[in-house]
Amino acid sequence: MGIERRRVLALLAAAGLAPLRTAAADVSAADARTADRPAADAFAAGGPGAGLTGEPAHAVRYLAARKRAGRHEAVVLDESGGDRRVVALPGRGHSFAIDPARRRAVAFGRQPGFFAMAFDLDGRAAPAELAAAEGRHFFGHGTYAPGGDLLFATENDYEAGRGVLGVYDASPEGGYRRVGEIDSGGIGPHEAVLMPDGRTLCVANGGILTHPDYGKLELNLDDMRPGLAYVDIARAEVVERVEPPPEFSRLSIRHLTVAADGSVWFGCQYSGPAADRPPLVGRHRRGRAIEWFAGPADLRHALRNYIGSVAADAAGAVIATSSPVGGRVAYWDAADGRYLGSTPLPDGCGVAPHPAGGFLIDSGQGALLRAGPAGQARALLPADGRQAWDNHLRRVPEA
Amino acid sequence: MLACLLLGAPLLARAAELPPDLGQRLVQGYIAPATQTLARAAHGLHDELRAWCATRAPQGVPAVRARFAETVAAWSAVEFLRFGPLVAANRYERFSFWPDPRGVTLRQVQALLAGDAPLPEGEALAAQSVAVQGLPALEYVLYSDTGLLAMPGGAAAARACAYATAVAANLARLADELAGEWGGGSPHARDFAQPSPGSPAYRDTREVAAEAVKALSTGLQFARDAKIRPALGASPEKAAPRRAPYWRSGLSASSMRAGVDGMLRFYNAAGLRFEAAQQGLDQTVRHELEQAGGTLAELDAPVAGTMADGDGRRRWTLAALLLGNAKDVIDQNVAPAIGVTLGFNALDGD
Repeated sequence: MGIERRRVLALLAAAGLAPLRTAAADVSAADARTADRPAADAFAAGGPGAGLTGEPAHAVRYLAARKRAGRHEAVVLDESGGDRRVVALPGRGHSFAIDPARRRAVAFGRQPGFFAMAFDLDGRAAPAELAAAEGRHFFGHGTYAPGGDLLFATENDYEAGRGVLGVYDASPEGGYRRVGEIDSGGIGPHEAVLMPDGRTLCVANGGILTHPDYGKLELNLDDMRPGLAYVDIARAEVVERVEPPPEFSRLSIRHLTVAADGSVWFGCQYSGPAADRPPLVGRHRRGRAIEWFAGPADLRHALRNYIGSVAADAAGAVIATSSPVGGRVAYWDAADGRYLGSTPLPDGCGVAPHPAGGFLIDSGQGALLRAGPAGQARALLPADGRQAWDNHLRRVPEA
Repeated sequence: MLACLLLGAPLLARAAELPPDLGQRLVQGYIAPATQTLARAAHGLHDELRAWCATRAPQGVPAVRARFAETVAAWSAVEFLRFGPLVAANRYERFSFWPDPRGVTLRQVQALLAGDAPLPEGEALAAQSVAVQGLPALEYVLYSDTGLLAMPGGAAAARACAYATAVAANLARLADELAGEWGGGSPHARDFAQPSPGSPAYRDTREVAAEAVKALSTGLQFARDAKIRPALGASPEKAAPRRAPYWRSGLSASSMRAGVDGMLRFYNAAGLRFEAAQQGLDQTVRHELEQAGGTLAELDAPVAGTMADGDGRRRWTLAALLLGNAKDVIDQNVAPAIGVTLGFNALDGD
């Protein structure tokens, strides 16, 4: 079946995104079955602070997925790492789409994820599970369109070996119904971020073919085509695509953030021989070539060819890239790509901006740190193994 | 399955000693001889096919089968060494493009054989899709129902034989490269055997240990999660034996046994010395791998007949369990005992 064009167009219009042309018909769509079946455990909240309401709208909040006491959860955190709300997940979570205006978010299952969980940041509604569409699984990332009436999720059309963005009706009456999908412009779309123009998504196509029957096993290492694809939401098509040079075809682009100047910063994972030490961090501006930043040789060795998360600080002037494999978070000057220093943190991966500058970073061993290129890191939560934070820490933007 | 290990936890007391010459032990005690065995086997297969293709006499079929089985066994003992030379130049995928859930090999090999264009050989074959230049492609050509070994006198047999010989030559060349890269004097073997602060890949013994543990852990996971579980299915009705490796040639269980045996020999070659209180760990790893190998040895019948039900299915299930146990002990106990810790995020790249 095709994309439900009329509904998508209405939602785009509501977001002020009138299509430039009406031919969104190249969008092939999968089964857009209703995906709003109720969560198995509505209001499955627990832990300190769960169920609090009436928080001030300006309170700083973060989102992270974790495993604790054998259970997988999505957690709303305050800036000192305290649990403000806990949402049970049916499996290991990964990242989030956040709608700050309506105070809600969607947690995506870690790839190959067959669930996503929509929940209210203030606990005013029961969490609702979105099942993956037939023949699709989530890659763990997604984002709302401006206004929050549409949700995009990176997904795998795994029998066809094709990356797609699932499109969901996130309007108040939409119930997160899947209304279609857009080709992601490559295999293995991982993180997708909304560009400052409000109408373009930048998608990191990791280039790695996987099939859920084989977990994350790479099925095409000989033939990878990683890249960034810019997708015009209203036209539902890829409008620009850039790739690493051929000698870095095994440099899988996974994670993204947008700096203050509107350029996209990304982090890579290299699946070639360890003796190769390709640059893992890049910057891209529309219409230009990718710029690569490697940092000093010791840093390259320490990062072990792996970046797990990327974030810009509150000013958009410093980029943090984490390597859980190397146990190191590295900082880069967004103006010129200069390496600014690093924070050691075993299994450290989640990074998010702190409103007063610098970053919060967390780890699979349970640590939460306030850290940055300047000054000492300060521990907010210990690495005591009581909880394991998954790869991503997200700050809820101000509405 | 990008299993990655985290270097860290330097403050933890070590419960086991890393031999300072760990890399050397692994290269000399396992990797170099195993890759040389593979090279000998692949050359044997190539020589056999070249000779047999001149006549395609039915009485020559058993010898071709035997050489193919030797090559599969030798490859299975090497394929878990997925770092350095085996990763470079796409050697792994060129030697064995598998698993192949979308059936690329079948489609491409059929297309190649159906045409009358000159068959690619040598460098030309090495430049083709990885799916047409490795062991699974050769297995299909030799062992399919209408393949060379079933119908050596068939109309298309001459073309198929020429192709099979070219693939075997490609395997022999790849195995030579691999053995050369792991042989004395090669930069990679030296880097692994004698890590040093200035070397590109391994700066100290702990980094060599991390690579070795990662290879074992990932190899065990691959054996269970890619080779056994998808074929075994969640229930007898869902068994899909054609998703087992080498189901056409009847080498599913024996190839896996060769792989498990190789991983055990690799582990033994490391020569880890555990504290008295930790000796049990070492024994557990060996025991689980020996039991897994023994269980697979009882499964020599064609895989289809053993997965559906009864004793066969129980044995496959047990083998998967034993492999998983061995992996868990290596990840959770052996790795930290030698100063390599596995992270929640680092272990399972995403």
